[in-house]
Amino acid sequence: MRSLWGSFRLQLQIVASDRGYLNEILTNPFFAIIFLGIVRAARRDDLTSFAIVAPVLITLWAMALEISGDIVDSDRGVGVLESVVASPAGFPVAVTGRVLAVTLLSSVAVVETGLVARLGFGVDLAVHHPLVAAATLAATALATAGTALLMAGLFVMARTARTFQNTMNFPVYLLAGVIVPISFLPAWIRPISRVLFLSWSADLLRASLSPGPVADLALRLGAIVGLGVAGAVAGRVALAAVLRRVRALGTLGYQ
Amino acid sequence: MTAPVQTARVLRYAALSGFSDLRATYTFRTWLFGLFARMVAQVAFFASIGRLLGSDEQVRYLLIGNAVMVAASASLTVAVATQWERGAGTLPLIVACPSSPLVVLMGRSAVFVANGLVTSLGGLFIVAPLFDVALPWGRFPAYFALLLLVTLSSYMAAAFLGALLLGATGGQRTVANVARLVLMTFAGVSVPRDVFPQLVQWLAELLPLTSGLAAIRELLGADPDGAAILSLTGRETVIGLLWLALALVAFKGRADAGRRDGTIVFSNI
Repeated sequence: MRSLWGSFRLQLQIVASDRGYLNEILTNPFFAIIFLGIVRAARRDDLTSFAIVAPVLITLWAMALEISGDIVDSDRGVGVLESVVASPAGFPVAVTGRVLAVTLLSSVAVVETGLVARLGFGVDLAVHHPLVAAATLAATALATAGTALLMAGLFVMARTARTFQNTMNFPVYLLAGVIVPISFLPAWIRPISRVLFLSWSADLLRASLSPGPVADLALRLGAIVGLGVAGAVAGRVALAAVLRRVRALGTLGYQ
Repeated sequence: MTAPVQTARVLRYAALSGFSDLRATYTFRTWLFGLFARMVAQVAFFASIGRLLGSDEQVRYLLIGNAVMVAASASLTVAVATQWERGAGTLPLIVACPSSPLVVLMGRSAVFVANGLVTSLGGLFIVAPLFDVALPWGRFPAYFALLLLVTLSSYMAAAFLGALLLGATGGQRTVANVARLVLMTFAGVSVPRDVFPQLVQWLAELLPLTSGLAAIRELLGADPDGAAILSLTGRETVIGLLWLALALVAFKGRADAGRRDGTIVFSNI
């Protein structure tokens, strides 16, 4: 646990010195203005909750992509990867702590989006099911961290996968229905959407902002957490496999 | 050799080397499923919001705006060019060379203009039929000319940002990202400009893309007004040239300052 906390604090210090990690936090208000502006221009105030949920999820996902692709490469770049791998705590623990720190940071998107809605568009948002909203955000943060671990493993395992790192934003936003519910997608795509925890998060967050009752809460929260845990387990397996391979080949510190 | 001929020659070789860089980074497969697919998905994502709004007019508005934005967005990559050169250790050489460093850097990034045009057209051709948006394909040559103009004017504005950041050892990517989102937000890409306060609308007139995109919307409309298209095209051209002039001045100033204080040879780390 101490190692996890140590890597968590280390990542916060890295973020403080490397402003590149704040990219996605800077971009959140723009997405909020775009989505709220679209809804306002179309005179569809009934869709305001859709426009508020989307930028939050976009920031969470984009930050997870950023950290998962960068964490190993940056350590390799500054020559500390060997030391981290050789440390008694182990590499997966270090990665987990750092991913958790970034995920927690990205939750500032909730505040950013709320401020844009209130100050920029005069939206007085009513959260009809605050406990559901809080539980969904917590489950989503957990699932984001788990999925980031999976992506970190994959990005290291297949170096060409990093080419696709920047590709995994808009296709995922579309498939996961971060603003447009997946019921608008063709029926054959929807099973793919359901494998993405973001699709469950988006539905549940929107439901938490609506006055109607929230159906199947436990099942939907379970889906978010379950997919996140599955991602974390697969990520640890992938990282362990990568470490075995690079140790055998002696390529751990290669640029 | 006359100066314009020499400049064209430098531009050509710089563009060829930029193209070689792209070919070394991407295979056709990784470009197709990486860069291209992402941009098409971006256009589809925004067009789908029109479906959520239940309005074919909104689908059309979002589709056209975001297809054009893809081209402008790709050309903004030039703002990051100085960071790449610094990382590769070639920035001091480029600044020291007899030709204008701006010509070299713009030439090296010209491949992104081409990439932007291809991905933008691909996005439009693929997504329009998917969302049942009928476009007047007979006006395609004029559309392409306007798309090229928008891409170049955005490229000039990005060159200005790149020039400002010439001495910086980081932050180029952040600046390019924010510039991209400023265009996406205020240039009439997804949100009609009249949603914003008057002051914001006036400031948006100074951005590249704003007038050019309005001209494209007019061109693709049911009853295009030729005079309005010409006026908007003229405005986009002037804005692009203004950004180019600013880029030239800023580049000279920053290069001179970098020579004096030695920041040109600093590395990214």
